[in-house]
Amino acid sequence: MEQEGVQSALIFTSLLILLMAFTVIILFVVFQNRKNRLLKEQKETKKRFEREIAETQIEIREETLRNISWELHDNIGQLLTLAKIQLQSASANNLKEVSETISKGLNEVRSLSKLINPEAIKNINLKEAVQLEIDRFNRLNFIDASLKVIGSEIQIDKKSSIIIFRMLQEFFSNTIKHSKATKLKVVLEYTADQLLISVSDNGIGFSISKNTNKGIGLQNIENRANLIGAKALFLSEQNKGTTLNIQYKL
Amino acid sequence: MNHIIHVLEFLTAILATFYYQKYRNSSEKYFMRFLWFVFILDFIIGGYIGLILKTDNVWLYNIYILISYLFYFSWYYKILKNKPLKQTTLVFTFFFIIFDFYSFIVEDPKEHHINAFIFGAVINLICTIMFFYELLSSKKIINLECTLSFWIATALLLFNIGMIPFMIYTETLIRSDQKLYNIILISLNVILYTCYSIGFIWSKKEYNQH
Repeated sequence: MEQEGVQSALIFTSLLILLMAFTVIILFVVFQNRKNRLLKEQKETKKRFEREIAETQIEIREETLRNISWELHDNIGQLLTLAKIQLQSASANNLKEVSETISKGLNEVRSLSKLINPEAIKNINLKEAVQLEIDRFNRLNFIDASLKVIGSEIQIDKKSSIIIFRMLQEFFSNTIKHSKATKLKVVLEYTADQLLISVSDNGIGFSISKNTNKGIGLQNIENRANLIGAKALFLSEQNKGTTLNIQYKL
Repeated sequence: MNHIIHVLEFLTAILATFYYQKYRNSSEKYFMRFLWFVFILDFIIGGYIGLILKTDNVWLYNIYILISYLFYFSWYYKILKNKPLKQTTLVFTFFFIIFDFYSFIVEDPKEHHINAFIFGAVINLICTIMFFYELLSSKKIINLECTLSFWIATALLLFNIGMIPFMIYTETLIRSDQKLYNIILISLNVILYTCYSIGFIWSKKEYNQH
């Protein structure tokens, strides 16, 4: 009887030790697995982010090249052609006209060279980049564009700047190509903890309810906003223009 | 032999006080007071009344167990974020209170409330598992070893997993082998307070914000 009691007590103790060892192992394995998975996910998210940034940079570059090609052909090319025609029928009194045309062309070349500066694309400064775009629109008489900055400018993260600029660029090109707008207004509002960007045109707009499967462009802009933790909101009504509000936490 | 447990309680309370700055902004801040309460009650009051005055001190331990379980449950209630899990904790606490009061009324005051103790330990275990479940789906898991709450929950998990079968088996064990009984009890306490101590020493302030 005594012997049996001792024996069962020993069995009990070993089972207890086994149970506790088992618990420790399970706990360790489960948590380690989960931790590794989470770390891997984080790494992948970061990688995807980097890739997206690189792609966006390439897109900005492509857009710039397209603009340059357009300007060379349609703007500077036209001016030079005009100068050539003027020279062919040159006389003492219209030489001044020829010189004016050529200096206009020179001006265009100068402002164009500013756009091509690769440093400007790499180390983008949001306000300056937007200003350059707006100046270009006004110079080429595409649209009556204006930029307003409220509050003191705060330098924001380079990568976020690239993404935001590309979002704006996409909006601008949509406005110019499709909206038939005559006015484009950009407002950058810097507050203590966030940057509010509002871009609006007075074009034909679109009705949001009709576009249930949002256009690729719109979807793109929203995806990009999510990438940097910003919120993008479209407001549009048929024939009343389109507004894009971006809310970016500093 | 039993003094080992008192020494452990004392050392852990000292460590908890020494590292208080690390976790003063978290829900774990009450643990310092709790550990001193455990030590004072167990050693001074329990030991004094039991050993020197030679009077019965079981009633005191029954109250002590009620208070300490209520403390643990309220801690889990605080740190759980998920609403249904929080409510589950509340419901269990309610049942535990009823169960323990029932023991106070019905059972012999000279006996330990073993059933209430086992019931409390099971609830405690469930709370720990709920807490781990929540932890697994949160981002805190990356710096797990630096959070105090993880170590406290681990301590409670191991302690209770050992304690539940031990309490169920306790009478047979005392009768057959008093020494083994003591060894198991002390080992469980060593595990409990070692995990606490590791938590106090290893955890970092930035991960102990509530």
